[in-house]
Amino acid sequence: MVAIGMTLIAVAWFGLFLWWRGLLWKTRWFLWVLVFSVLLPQAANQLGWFSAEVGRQPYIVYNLMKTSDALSKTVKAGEILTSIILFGFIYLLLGVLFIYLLDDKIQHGLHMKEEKGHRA
Amino acid sequence: MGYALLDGFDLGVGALHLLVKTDTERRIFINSIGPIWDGNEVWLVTGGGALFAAFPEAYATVFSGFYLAFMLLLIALIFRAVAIEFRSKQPMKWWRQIWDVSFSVSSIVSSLLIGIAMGNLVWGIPLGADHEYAGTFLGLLKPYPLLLGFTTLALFTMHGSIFIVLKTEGALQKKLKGWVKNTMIFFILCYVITTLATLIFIPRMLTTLQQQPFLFIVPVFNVLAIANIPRNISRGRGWGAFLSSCATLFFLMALLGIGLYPNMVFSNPAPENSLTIYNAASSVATLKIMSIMAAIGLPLILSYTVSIYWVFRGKVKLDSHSY
Repeated sequence: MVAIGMTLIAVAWFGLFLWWRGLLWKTRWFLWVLVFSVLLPQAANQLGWFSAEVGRQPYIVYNLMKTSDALSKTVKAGEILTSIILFGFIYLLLGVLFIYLLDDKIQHGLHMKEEKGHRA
Repeated sequence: MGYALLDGFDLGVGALHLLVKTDTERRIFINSIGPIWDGNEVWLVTGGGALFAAFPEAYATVFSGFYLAFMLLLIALIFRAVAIEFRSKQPMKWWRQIWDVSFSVSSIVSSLLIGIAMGNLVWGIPLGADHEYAGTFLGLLKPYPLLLGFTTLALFTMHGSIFIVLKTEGALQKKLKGWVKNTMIFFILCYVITTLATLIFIPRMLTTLQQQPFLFIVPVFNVLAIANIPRNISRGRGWGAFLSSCATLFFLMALLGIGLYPNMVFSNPAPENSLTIYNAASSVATLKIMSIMAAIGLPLILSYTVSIYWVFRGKVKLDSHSY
């Protein structure tokens, strides 16, 4: 995660340097690096959360309270699993929609579209 | 209370959304709450957070006991938010229809669930000696909470219709003015039934009022505020009607609070297990810090809320940046 952070800073500085030299738009390989570097903050974010949430076990409040003591007694494991899976599906759906709409904007421009389609 | 006032009307606009049919009218509806619904929903988050900090036992019992209901509410709010953003991004009629339905249904479901939650707090839910919820999800759907759910829906829809009249013009506004009358009648009907049901079935709601008779001013103001709405509408004073509607919400919530006091979550059938503001609260130190934070935070939140409303004042005009 820290390594990703340092890498991103290095990429940003290099890009700045290229821009200062007027070479930014001509250095194709670097532009591709920029495209894929978008994935790095995502990864860093998730990895950070993994390390925090896994690393804290078995405590929920370090040295003071264990995670097993902090459970809600009224919520059953099945309910929690269901809600996690449900959220997974919802986020997947929203993610797909987001990519689709983003791609649409990139391909066709930013103007608002008037409604069209068959009249029922 | 702030949440009900603010998100109330944008949930109300959503509830009414499917009743306008043309694309332009629907876009106007969405754009009327477009710049402000997000800030309004923040009040829900703040309310939940404040509950956690100040009254953690109540937070724990309610949020874990009502888990499935809260998940449902969460999903409804997610889809309302997403519907607003995604709706106009594609031109296809079926696309816009799906998101219009999503926007409206999720607004209606959210309003109902909020009312049902409030109703359950008032009616009482089975709490064990450890203050944990001892019932089921379907046990939350008793008649009184359901009644309060519909009353909340009626209230928010009325509030929303008054707001949308403020935000529209011309022929559309004329049509919507008629709706204000209908939603108001529906609300008053629900309100009367709820009041009667409360007086008959939950007499303990009156004890605080009887102990402190000066509090009778609250229901009086409540009724006055409701009566003020048709008065303002007939005189064409949209803003007066909106403020009266806000006042209605304010006094209704105050009445609820007074009725519940000092309980927060009433336990039915074992009232001795109820969560009160005393046994559910954090330590004195925490409450002191919370009060200071609230005193600093609330003016800030209010000032940015007011400024956003000011920036986007006036009638809805659709342009290339609109939803």
